[in-house]
Amino acid sequence: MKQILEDDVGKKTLLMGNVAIVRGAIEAGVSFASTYPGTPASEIGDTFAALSSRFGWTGYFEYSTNEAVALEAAAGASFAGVRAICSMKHVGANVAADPLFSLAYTGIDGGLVVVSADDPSCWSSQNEQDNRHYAVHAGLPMLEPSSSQDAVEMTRSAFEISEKTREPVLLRTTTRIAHTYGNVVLGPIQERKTPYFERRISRVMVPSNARPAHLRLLENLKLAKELSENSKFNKTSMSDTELGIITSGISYAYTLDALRWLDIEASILKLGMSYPLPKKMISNFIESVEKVLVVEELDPWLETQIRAIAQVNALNTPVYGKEQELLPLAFELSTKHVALALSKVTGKPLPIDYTMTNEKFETAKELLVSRPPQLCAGCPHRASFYAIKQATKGQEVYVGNDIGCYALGIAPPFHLGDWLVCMGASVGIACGTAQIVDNPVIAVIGDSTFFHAGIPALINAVQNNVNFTLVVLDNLTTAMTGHQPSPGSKLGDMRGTAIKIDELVRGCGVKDIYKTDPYKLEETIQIFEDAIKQDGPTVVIARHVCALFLDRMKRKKGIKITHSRVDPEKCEGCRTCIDEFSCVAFVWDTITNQMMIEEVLCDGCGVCINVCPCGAIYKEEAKQ
Amino acid sequence: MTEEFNVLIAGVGGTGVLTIAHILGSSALSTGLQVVQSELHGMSQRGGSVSTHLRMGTHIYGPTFPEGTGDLLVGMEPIETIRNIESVRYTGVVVFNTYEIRPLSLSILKKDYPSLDLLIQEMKQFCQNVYSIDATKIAKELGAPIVANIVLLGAAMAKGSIPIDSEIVIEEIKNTVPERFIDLNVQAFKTGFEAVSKL
Ligand code: SF4
Ligand code: SF4
Ligand code: SF4
Repeated sequence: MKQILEDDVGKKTLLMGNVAIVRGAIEAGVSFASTYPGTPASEIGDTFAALSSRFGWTGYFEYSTNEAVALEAAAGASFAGVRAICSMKHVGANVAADPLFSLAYTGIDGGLVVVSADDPSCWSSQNEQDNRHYAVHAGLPMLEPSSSQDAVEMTRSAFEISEKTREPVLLRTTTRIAHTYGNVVLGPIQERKTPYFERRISRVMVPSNARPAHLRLLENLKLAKELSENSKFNKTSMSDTELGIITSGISYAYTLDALRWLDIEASILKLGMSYPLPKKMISNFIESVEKVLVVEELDPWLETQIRAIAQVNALNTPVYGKEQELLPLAFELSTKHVALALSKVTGKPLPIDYTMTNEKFETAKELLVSRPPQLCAGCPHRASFYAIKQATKGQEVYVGNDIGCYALGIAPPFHLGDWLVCMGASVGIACGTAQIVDNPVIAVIGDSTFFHAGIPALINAVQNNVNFTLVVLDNLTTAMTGHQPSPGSKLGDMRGTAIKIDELVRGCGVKDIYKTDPYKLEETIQIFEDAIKQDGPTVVIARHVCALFLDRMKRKKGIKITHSRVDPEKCEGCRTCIDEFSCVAFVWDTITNQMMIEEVLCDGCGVCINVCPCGAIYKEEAKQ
Repeated sequence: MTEEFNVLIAGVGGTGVLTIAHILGSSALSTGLQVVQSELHGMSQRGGSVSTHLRMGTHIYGPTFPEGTGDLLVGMEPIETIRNIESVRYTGVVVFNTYEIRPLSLSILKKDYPSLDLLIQEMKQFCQNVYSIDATKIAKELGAPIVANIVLLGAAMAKGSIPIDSEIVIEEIKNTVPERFIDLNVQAFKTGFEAVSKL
């Protein structure tokens, strides 16, 4: 981590794409960084956080309440003359879209870089939207790295492009860039800019200023197009001219591998600065080859523009891509996908006949048991979900779930999740459903997500007297994305004051507020029963620290974890524990027909002790 | 120098799969190779299946490699090994930990874990060189089940034809783990290395 700050020009190292972005920003003399954590962007913020709290970086970093606030804060720093970076996951850009579009109008002072980390294949997201569209939609110059080395260089240059064009620059990555380690050569670190705040009426977006601002944006984009035509990130490598490939981002890496694998020569145009497109360069490239294959993930974003460029320049060169269904419109690409497309265009077969291996795999498949992600052993959410289930036995309740670890509550045995849409939607949708149906309606939301997007919806519920129960699962951290601090807790570094959720909820006008520790099962079940029965909006705050966070801390400090065990003398094999609680550490012994606890996994929370009707589960230490 | 050496490391989230990938990756860097190592975070990490592609050589670009082009599959858990068995080529190598972490779904369905013999027999359909080791048992004997991954790393270095010197890997282990655990980890590596060397 220390090396990110070292002025060690020429040093070779291995950096994850996200960390390479931080290095690039440090090299550019960035002064301000903000984020709301979201996979696959999280490590950008986490690296800045570590640099400032433990490695003496003197720039400013904050975890903001949500992406819109993060971007506004970064813009504020840019207005004050310094370089700023704001990172978010792709759907975070939807939250930040409001300021983003208008910042393209206001323009910036200090270079402002907005990182959008997209997640093709939805590895950790609710959708796989292609955020390259934002560049066109808002009117922002865009860079797309293909490797960690690119990530360093492009981030560094992004600040310059931003200052030259006076526009925020979009740095668009994808999971396979963000979370891939690659070789990097460190560059020199520039001085930070001296702050200045120039008062500009052009930043005041009333209609009379917005109209000239739009024209200014169009002028700025013209300049950006010139930069793109001459950018070192847009590179042609001519080889065999029978086939020309146009590509960008991670697709470039797959393309190089696929060409080598199939042993094909082709000319390549790599678009690192992909908005505005270097139209002249592209047109020249199309003209110099016999046919063109466009290789890109998700939407035919490049392809559509490239077809238009060919049309405008009256070029008849055939363009292949998604239009001919050579590449998929959904999910991430791979070397194999690109190789298959190349194979169709050139007639050269793949070196491996996959129909054979697929057949072989059919028998192996029978041995496979799926292992989906699970709530950790000891997770407080499992206790909360169990309590909700017990409290609502025999009733048809509708439950909105939200974005976070607790989304795993949709799985058996809990099945708590009739909708899960986007940050905060558990509450917003409950507002509508509860006004229409008579059944109990519950929304479950984590502490960090509640702060991010749940509060306006709760206010709406109070204002309109919605009859529902909001459950805030407060684990004192933002667990899912790597335990970033949450505004409600003092865990982790916080400059300001921790916000008390109960006070906040009371301030929103909620009258019936219940607080519980979900590890205390009996009490929690009673509280849920009461809260759900109560008319009007009620809030239950189920507070217990994230088990994984605590276990890691214990391990670091050398505190021993005492596991729970099952007494074979007492276990009657009733399966209540497995069927109703399903801790990941549970193992069913098919020979004795009894339950066992896998000690490698058990975190010793002891909650299962109160689930077993036979008193068969005990804490290890109790027996000694 | 090696043009391309592809490794897939698979296991259950939270059991040190990424740690051994990082140690091997930095070792490859010290060896002067290009390295690409791709992993998934967030939802995919919560106790579910995890796998990471680690590629090293002089011509490395993509974050992952096509099935059937892997040179080595390192499995921290038997079912996770078979789940990724298509990644490795027939003449490549599989090194895996025989210690079972039973997926909860088996307990829910009251099903048995597939037998080791059957698993190995299936693996051999895909790869002729399969080596197994109970790395977790060895780690427990060393007093720390958590170092099972390093035991397995030792075994992989012994049998995997990885184009890196073992001494370099030991150096990287020392750079990676907290100081008070260095001896334990180095010992785990060596024990794993020796345990399969005789096979
Ligand atoms: S990380 Fe924490 S909150 Fe998330 S599943 Fe694990 S214990 Fe639960
Ligand atoms: S609930 Fe108790 S008695 Fe029933 S299977 Fe589980 S441990 Fe055994
Ligand atoms: S004590 Fe019980 S519920 Fe808690 S982690 Fe261990 S097995 Fe799971």
